[in-house]
Amino acid sequence: MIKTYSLTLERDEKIVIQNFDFTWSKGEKIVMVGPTGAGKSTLALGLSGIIPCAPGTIVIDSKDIGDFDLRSLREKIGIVFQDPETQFVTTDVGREIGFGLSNINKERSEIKERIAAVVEDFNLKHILNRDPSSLSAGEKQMVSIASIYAMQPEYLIFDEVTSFLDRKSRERIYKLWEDTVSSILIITQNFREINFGERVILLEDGKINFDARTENLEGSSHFAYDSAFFNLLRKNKDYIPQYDRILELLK
Amino acid sequence: MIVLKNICFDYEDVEVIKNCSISFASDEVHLLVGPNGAGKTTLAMILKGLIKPSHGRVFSPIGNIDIFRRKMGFLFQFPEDLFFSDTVYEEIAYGAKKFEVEDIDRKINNIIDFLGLNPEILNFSPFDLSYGEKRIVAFASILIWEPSYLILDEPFSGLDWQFRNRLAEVVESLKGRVGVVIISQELDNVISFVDRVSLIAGGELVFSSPIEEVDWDGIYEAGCDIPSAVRLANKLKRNGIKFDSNVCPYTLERLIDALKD
Repeated sequence: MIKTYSLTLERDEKIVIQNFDFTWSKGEKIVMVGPTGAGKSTLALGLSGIIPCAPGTIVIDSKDIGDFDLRSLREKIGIVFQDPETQFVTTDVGREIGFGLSNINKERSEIKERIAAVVEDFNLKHILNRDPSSLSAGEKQMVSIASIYAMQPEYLIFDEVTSFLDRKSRERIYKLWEDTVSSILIITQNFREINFGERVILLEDGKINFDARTENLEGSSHFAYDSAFFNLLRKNKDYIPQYDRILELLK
Repeated sequence: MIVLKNICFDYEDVEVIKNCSISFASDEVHLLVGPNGAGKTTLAMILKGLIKPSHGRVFSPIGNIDIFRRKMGFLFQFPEDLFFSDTVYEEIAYGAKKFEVEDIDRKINNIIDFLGLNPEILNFSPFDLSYGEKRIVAFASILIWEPSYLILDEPFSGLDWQFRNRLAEVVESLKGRVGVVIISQELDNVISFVDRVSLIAGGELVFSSPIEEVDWDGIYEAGCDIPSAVRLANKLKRNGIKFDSNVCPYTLERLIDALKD
């Protein structure tokens, strides 16, 4: 379980998240939405230990985040960034996937096995020897997801990782989200992706404005478009779903 | 009109673009779709003249291509990577000064208002903004010098619905006055005002059709998404609901019209 206590996070000396209390249970799949600038990416960076708490605490499986060394923290929690290029460090896709694994001291044979597995899962064989910087944005996004996924962290944060993906690649990622046993936090602007969470959170101005388990929301499936959640989104003009337009047109 | 004729582009022994011939009208909104790695961005960079094709030529039948290119704005996939100024104001003003735009102060304020940004943002560092805000600021820094062509490479990525709609409205308002090329995996935001759709797959141009004649099945089979209305229409058809098949229901309005008939 990841728990934050009165967490404050700053970006460039500005407070983005303040007094933030949040619990992420092991195995839980959370989808986080919110307008641009709400603090979603900052929270993701804080939870993964990339930016420090200022002040407040993050406790991961009963241990303060500050007490982890870098290797064990990366085994515990991984993050796939919005801009995939920011995480590339090597000169070919195979090495890129292996880089994180060697950093957490995996055996050579295991690194090879894991690379082979993700290359298959993410359909990367045709670009395995390419320089990541020469790939298209969608291909880069797939490589960055594969690189973190190969490390099999217990908690995995996806920060708007499907925005450049074509339909087929997106479907591969959706399958991964459905099948994974890791705890995942999906940050997205794509409302179709809300269905992959057991819990949905709306973050606004660095605060949780809505937090519910999808099964408790109104509606027969995950939740209905007339639920409090969607009404809140509409009120804040964050979301103009196609569904609304259909209803409007059918009137 | 800009014409790309028999364009080939090779990179690291990979044929990224294969004998592609395509034209871009100066008054159309042209949507380029295709799976990841198809060569869409490469083609757009050749159009702008940022990279030279290995073979083929880019020309305009009505004028000097360099003049067209000079007034061609390119919103990159990660435009924020190109920021260098200390404030948003300076970032936007840079392009305006380069193109000798008059009355910069007023125009910057108008553009900020037009794009739905808080004027306070002008004093912020562009590096401190959120991903979506950076994208909008990058767009403003192009719009300020009134380009005659505009290439938008995945412009909606990272934007919330409010900004997406705003950006789409702004692009729509340019329709007819500016030649717009949009590369996007998300079609719902733009489909209602697109004039032409081209599918690029494996470096080849599969088709380039007016919006009414687009082969949506071909786009889906190539691994791309299709508009929600087309998806919904296909579902209705599969469930035995008949409607006027002459009407291409690529928007919800068109689908409703088809159902009414």
